[in-house]
Amino acid sequence: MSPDLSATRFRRLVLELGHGAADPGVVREAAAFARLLGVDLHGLFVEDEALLGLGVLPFAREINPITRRWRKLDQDRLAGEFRAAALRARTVLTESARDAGLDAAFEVRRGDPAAFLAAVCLETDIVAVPAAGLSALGGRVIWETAHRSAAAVLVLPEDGRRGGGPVVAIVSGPDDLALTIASDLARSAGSGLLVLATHPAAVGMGEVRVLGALDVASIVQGLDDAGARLIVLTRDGAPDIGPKLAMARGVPVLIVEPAG
Amino acid sequence: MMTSMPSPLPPGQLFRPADPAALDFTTTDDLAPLPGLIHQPRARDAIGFGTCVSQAGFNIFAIGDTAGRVREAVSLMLNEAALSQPGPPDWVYVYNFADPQRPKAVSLPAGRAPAFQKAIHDLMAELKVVLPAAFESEEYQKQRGAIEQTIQAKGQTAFAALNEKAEARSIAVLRTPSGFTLAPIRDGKIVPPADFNAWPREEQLKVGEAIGDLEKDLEETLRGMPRLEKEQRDAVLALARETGRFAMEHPVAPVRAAFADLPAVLTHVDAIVDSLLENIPLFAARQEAPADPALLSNIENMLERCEVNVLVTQSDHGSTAPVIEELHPTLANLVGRIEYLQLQGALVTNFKLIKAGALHRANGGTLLLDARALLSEPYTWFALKRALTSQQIVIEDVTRFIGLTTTVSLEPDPIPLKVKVVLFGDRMLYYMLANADPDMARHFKVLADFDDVLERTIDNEKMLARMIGAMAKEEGLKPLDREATGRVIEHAARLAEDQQRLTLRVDLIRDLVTEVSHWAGVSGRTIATRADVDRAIAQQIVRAARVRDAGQSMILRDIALVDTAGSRVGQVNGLSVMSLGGYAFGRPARITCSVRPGAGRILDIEREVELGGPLHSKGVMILTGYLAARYGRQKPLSLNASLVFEQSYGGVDGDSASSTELYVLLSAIADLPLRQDIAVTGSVNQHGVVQAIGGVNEKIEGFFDLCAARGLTGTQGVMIPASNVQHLMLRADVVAACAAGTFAIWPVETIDQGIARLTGLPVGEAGPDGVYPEGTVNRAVTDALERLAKARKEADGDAEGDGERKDRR
Repeated sequence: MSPDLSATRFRRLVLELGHGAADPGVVREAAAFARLLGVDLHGLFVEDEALLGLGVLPFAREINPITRRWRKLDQDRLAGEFRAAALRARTVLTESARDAGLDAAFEVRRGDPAAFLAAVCLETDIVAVPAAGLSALGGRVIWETAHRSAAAVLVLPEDGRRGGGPVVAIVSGPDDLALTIASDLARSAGSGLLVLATHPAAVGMGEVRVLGALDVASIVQGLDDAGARLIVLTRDGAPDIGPKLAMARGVPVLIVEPAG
Repeated sequence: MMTSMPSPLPPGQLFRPADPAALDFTTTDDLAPLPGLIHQPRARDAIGFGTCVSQAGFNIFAIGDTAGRVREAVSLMLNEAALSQPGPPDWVYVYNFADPQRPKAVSLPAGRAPAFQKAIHDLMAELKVVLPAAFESEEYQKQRGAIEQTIQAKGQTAFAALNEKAEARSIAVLRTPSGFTLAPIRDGKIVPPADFNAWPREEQLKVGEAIGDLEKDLEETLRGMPRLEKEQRDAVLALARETGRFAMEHPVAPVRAAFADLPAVLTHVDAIVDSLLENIPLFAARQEAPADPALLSNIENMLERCEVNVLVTQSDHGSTAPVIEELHPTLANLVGRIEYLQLQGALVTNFKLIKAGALHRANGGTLLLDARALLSEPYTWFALKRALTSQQIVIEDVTRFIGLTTTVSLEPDPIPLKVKVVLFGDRMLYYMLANADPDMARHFKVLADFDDVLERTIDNEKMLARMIGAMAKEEGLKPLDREATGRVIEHAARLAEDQQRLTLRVDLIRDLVTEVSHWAGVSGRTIATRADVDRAIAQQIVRAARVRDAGQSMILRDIALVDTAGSRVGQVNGLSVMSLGGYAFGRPARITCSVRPGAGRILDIEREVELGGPLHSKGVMILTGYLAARYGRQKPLSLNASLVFEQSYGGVDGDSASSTELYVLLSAIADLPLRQDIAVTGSVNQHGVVQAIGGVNEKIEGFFDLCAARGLTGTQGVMIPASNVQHLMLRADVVAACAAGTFAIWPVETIDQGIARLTGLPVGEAGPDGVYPEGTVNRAVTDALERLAKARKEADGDAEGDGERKDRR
């Protein structure tokens, strides 16, 4: 059963598939959450124009990570590879959406990925980004764009392990939107709710664990041996807390805009 | 010296009744049962010897007149012997993890294989639940996550360091659709080529130099990735194995404890654990893809191959040695077989489809086989010899021998063989096989030859009476009174065809006692009487006598010509025996002879048309010897004679009609009529001595039935060899007719006695001048031979004269 928040808050889950997010595992993970949230999937593949332009530079060349051989960065070939990658991304997205019973849209653009992402992201969107690769320029730009937008951000860990465990809400007070959304999702998924808060008396729902601070180390310590299927927090904290939590626990992290 | 004419036999010599001294009981219920095998001391000792000697080759070949009777007797003895022998071990086949094409045979103490099978089956069922649960546990997930995060962090750290180093030199590491590239950046964005080209030459070179340096770093970072991936795989695998080992410890412990005394079983349990640990990623992967059909199938297959195939167990028949009889000894039924399943159009097999053969089931005990059935099946005799030679059971697939299947198959471990093989069959088969296959003597050193008859003494009659009583009790039949028992004993003598012997055909006696019980019941009696036995015997004959009756009907309607009155020259009544489906009856047949001048040749027409067998031809040739010895000492015989069984359209063999043929030959030569109210049987030697024949009772009864049907005249009878008198066990109606003087049985010792009876003339003895007296048979014969010689001589002279005339012309 879809939660109420689908009607009031989120409409679609946007996946930028041009920077390694077309990995089937990541797309399946995103589709599973889209189903949980009751939203549609929207795939966006942007052929990075800046990258395409590098082909004219004399020293530009690329290395194949498997063969570890270098070759010249040919503009025409690169364009063809972008088209092929877009086709693969569409296939992966379509199959994952079909398996999850979701509607899916897919669009291909050429230009600046960050600009396109910023243009399509709405307040009712969730942008899914893979945690892996955020250290690289392309991934970091996508992450920063999403983080700056009005949309919520879902950080997907590399090789995440779906399954049991509660939905975890990291909250700073009883009015924290993360608590509301986490509670809704827990109910929808039939999971428990675990609340990590600095002021336990004000929460009033689920199991509550009190933390001294809401930083990555305290949260990881607070989770201790509890598994988690999803961590929900608001964007109030440090900007990189979401990716760090996703990497540290191997759990998806949903970062939502604070209420108001 | 005058030839004596034997008198008809008195009724007391035609039938020997049971001795009243052997029948001192009211019914057979009063008799103590007779356990075990009746009589047969020779066979009993042989089987006892054979079963005691355990060395190779001392297998037993039991023979008798029929295989069925031998089988019954041998089976009885072997089951008795098995009671004192310990039960052999159980055998199972298990998967060979080191060489899957060669399933391993494991021996367990008698009766423990099913427990082993169940223990492993239960273990697999438990592991099917326990192992996936171990990998779904939070503890495993946490440890695995920690490993993966640690190792992934190493990779990410390496990339992060590279990115940092690159960005410090205003270079970005960028991901392309198929790899990585490096590009100059400014203000966090890739420098467009046009801008870059507008940069000063020095700055461009500096960027190029930085990119050159960073390319080496990128290469190095990428080179480390596979190592990290392998490190992660190895660490996760080690964790999975440790988790699996821990998860299996508890379920496996009771199995190890239950079979702690069996090292081979423990070794196999260790192999199972090692195999499961080797394949533990399958269980770990199931947690990630719980509905993957290929994965589930692989897990099922892996667990199934750990199961146990109980090939043979002694749990079914206690602790004694098995006695197994294989009624259909095909190769597969003898040495076992490997079955196949059709899977998507292909034939597949596995160690669980190995099926035991009779050798497996009898291993450690005794295997009983019908020799004829064994030899009738292709490959089985040689397979049995191979097994006995190698002392192991190798499962051989006949379809592979002859190229019918070429699929990958199994070569199961051979199983050590220690078995006593007992073949049973009829004597002829044994002697043929012994002659044809020298290996038989090597593998079947013990011959158990079952007697067909036993001497008819009072003690043996008593023993037979007890056996009859035991049969009635065993089969739940009505008891027999003393008269009925005596009648069965008398029938046993008739079956033995001897007043002095009793048959050991237990099967025939049992059949008769069963039928006697039935007819007693029909008559409303709870105890069978002599009348019931008579009726049972009569009904046995009636059921089988259609052919006999049809033959007699043809004679009575003068379709088949046999006279029973008057006298004829060159014609006599012979007697033959037909045996059809276990029922034998006598049949009168007319034998005729014609003579003419010739060179002394007696023509056997049966032989000429290939209807006569070699023994019959031998008998006819003896006639020539007799004639020459008695009548041709002075000059060669100048006649040719033709002998024929009239209206005989089947084969004739045996020499029991040779005396008959001699009588008709003498009649034809001397032109002396022979009595047609007498039938004759007996073989003859060259000196004219009449010798014993078989089937004397049936022959007499055959002629008697014909005469009785036409009406007994008081002159009719049968001449039999005197040496056959001891074999007479005639029907009561024949004996009664002889007692009343309406039929007669004459014992004959010589041809002279017989020809005198048939012609009514004395035979005659030669005087000092070598001439026989007038009015005797011999005078008539010698005169006729003289005439034939003269006629031949005249004929030869005419032929020469014709030749001279031709020359003159």
